Amino acid sequence: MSVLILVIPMALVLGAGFLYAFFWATSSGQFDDLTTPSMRMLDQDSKKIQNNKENNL
Amino acid sequence: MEKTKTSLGESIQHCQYCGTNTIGGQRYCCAACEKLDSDFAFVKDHKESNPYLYLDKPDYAQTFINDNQYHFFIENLQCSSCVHLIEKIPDFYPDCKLARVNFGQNLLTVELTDKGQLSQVAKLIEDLGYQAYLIKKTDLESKSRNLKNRDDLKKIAVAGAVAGNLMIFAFAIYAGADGIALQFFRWMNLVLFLPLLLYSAQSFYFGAWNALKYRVIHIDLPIVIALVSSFAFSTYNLFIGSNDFYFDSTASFIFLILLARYFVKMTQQYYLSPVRLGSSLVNQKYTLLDQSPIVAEQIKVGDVFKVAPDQMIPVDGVLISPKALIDTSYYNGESMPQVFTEALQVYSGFKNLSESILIQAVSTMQGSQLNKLLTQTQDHLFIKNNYINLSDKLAQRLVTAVFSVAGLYFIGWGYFHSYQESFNRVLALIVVACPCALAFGSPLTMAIAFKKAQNKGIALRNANVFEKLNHIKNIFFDKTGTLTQGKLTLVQTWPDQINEELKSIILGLEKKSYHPVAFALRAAWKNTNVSPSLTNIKETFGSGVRGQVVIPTDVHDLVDTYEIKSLPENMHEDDLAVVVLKNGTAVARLYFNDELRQESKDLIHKLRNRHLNCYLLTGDKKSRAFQKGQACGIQSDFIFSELYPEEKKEIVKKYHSTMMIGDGLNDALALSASDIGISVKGSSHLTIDSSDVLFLRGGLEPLLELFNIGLQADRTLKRNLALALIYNILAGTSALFGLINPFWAAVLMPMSTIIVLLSSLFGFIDWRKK
Repeated sequence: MSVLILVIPMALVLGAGFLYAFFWATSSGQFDDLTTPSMRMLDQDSKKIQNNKENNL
Repeated sequence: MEKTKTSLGESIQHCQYCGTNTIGGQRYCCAACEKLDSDFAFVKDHKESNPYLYLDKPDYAQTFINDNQYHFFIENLQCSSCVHLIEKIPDFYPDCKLARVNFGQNLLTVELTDKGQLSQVAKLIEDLGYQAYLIKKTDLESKSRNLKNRDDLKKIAVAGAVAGNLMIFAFAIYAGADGIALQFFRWMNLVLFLPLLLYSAQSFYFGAWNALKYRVIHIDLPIVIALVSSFAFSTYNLFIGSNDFYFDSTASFIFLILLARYFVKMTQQYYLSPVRLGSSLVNQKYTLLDQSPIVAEQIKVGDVFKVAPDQMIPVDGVLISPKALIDTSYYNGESMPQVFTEALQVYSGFKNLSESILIQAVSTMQGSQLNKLLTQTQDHLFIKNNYINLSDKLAQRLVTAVFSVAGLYFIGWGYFHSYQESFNRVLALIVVACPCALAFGSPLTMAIAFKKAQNKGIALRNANVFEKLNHIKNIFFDKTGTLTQGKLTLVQTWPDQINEELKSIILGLEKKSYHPVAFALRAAWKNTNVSPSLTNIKETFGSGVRGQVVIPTDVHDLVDTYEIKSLPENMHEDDLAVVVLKNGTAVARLYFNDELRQESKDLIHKLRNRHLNCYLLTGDKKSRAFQKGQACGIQSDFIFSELYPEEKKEIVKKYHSTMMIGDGLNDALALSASDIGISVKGSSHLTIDSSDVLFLRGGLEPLLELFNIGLQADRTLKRNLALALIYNILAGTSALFGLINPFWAAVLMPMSTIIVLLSSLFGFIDWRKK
């Protein structure tokens, strides 16, 4: 039973951590628009980005 | 190219670039796809003759800038290609740091560098082929809406985390934990429950407080009562050392209700524009006499300004130009353009079809007829939203019933036995009999129904539509653009075949015209070249157009004069007919009709089979109204013609259980006065704003689907309510007999939720697949 003293606080801290992560993601606006990012994903890279890539090589 | 057929046999093609359906056999669904597919190279200098230069003045920037960002409302976003193309703006104009599209809200957010000019961005958007309007910072609702949504999400997250963890601790207690562990678990119950009570459940407190304050019926009140009493009961037990807790079951139902409500809100918000009423017209540009540009909102009484072809007149005014051809259909539904002569009064909302005309303003935008219409419309909408839905009504009765039973029981049973035990049982009753299934089932049903409607191309702005839908008795249709296609089609010619040369001359004559006839001819003769040899083209207002073809010969040039004139109405049975004259002799006659939509007749027939009365309301002439109305099977005493917007509204108000379907500005009042207002695809902004439902798919076909979904929603809703009531009665009775302890509550409450969930999902399956 004594292991519970260790495990339960850990579980709670873990839970709180995830909750904090979710709060952070929400506050930074990641859930504001759920439609457009899925469209954006399939875009061909714009010239700017391509240029950057070439420069980095 | 792949071809599919719709149920109506109308051929649909897929866009060559993105695969979206296109109608009318076009290869691309929008200009963006065409541009992206053609590997565009698109570097332009926008410095000279930019009509948007006025945007760079500092006072404009002040009105529009919002946290260093500008927001545009983009009217014609079609598919993902549009997003790609618009977001490439920084590639074309490096002084634009960021361009982000929100597809659902038709919103573009732009950020500029210090030397970036807004005018360049505006011009670029126009060049890319989009209609964009800058949004004032005071009109931008999406920002505050986003903040509210984020807040809601956080509350749901907390509620979810609390509910999940509480269940684990509760389970440990039921499983027989003892010693220090038991004490720890017991107190953790309370600690974990507090964030939910104080943070997540806030919206319920507001709802309940408002319900008390304004003495209206709202389901939040019983929820709060259940929440608070279960908290009080459980905390009391915690302190006296008993293990009877309702923390876990209460937390999980709060979580589920919050979640269901959030889904409803999201589905509703998706198609709501972030711009307030009328904003789009406010930013339209016009030119003053001295060539300086002016936006509609700043036009003052007495200003003389130019209205370009195909542009809307923004204020009430007097025509200065000698003659003008004006489309008044937005305003009064009259399908044919009208000729206005000098000094006649024109109203805001009229559309100019002739060359540029001069108008002297007699009102500002605020004082215009259009604005009056809008204000009236908004008043109606306010009244309309006071509808009380079924679950709120039931919740009210439930609360009364539960509390009267609880009160009587407490006194009665307590008098004969013990008040302590009586109090326990009564509290158990209040907790278990909370309208959990009621509060969760209704929004869930709505969310599923909304989602389903959206997949079928129906956007709903009002959650009550489905409940009202089943009481609808009278359906009012607008004619032009609703039952009919809203544009002229060439239906018949004399002679039957017109040779290519004449066709090309006719097209040449109509080359610059915005008259509906010109559009109809261009659509009918797509493959004919426009004759370039016409000279001296003159539009003779209202009657037609005249032009000359010069044929050079050896001796002297031959001049053929062609003229297109409209035929008087008593000479034909169609909506419009013209005769083509060559040097005064008739060489062809063309007949045009505003054709009924393919599905109109079938639809009216089906609606009448369901014992719904179908009416026709139109501002158009009596003869045309009767011809069209009878063609699709509307009884002649149900046809009302030559109506002004107010008259349409009056007729709708005379009946009860009404539904109005329209597309024009002239329908806006009637739409807002009816129980359910529907605007069809292609409706004006202002019309959409005054209706509850918007068809995103062309035509009237979605109407039947809306009725079907409404039927399913109604059935599901009632079944959910019945289940909730049965549960409440059973659980409540057991509580009074002392059979309910927290363990049973923890089992029963989620079970009732699951049953409601399954019942809701089950209710929307289409058993008969096509």
